[in-house]
Amino acid sequence: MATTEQIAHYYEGFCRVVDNMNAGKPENMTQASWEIHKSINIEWLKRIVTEDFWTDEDLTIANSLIE
Amino acid sequence: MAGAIYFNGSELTGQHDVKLNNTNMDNVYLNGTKIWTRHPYPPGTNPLITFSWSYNSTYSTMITTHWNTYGTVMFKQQPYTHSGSPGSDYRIYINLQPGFYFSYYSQDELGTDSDGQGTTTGSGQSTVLYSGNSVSGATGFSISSSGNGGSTIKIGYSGT
Repeated sequence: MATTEQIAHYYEGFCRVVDNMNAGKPENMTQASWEIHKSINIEWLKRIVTEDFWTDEDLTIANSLIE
Repeated sequence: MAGAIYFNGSELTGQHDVKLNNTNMDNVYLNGTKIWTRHPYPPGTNPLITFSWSYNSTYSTMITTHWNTYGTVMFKQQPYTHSGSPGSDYRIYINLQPGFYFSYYSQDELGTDSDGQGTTTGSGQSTVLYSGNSVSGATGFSISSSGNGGSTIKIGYSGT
């Protein structure tokens, strides 16, 4: 059972992934690596939003990425 | 393993020795059924392994060193390459035996999952370690599987 502190920590990581994906490919990353990196993170976002430890966090910020 | 064996009124846990002709036994069978086995480590031992890797890791410490140390006591099989090569979408599978679990996962950019179970519960978990270009990570946790920089994972023994 995740604690409030852990949930807040996980949400911070969640938001950072969303921000990173929305920011697009970093200059120092090849296109091929970006495609893999993006795919892994999108799959992770799809899974993590289904976890049952979330409370009132706004998970909809990932909608445009996972829908 | 169900049930318990009592010796002089105390439960015979895996941390005691069962001796036969003064030789320590690893397992005790009754009518062909294993009824007792000795814990390989004291339950609650954590971490047994702390493994860090970065974007260009060969995973050699995990694939070779830790496998040679812990073998099938900890791993269901030797950690093996899933795809790619060092620095380019390189992934390896790690499958743990029951009783062992991933107790910690930290990714340099994205944070730490230290609730002891990642997003799965119990023991005998599996994960895939990933690295490529400038990123790394591991699957199955509350922290994403791919972020900038290096990553660290820990394996402990719960005994259950």
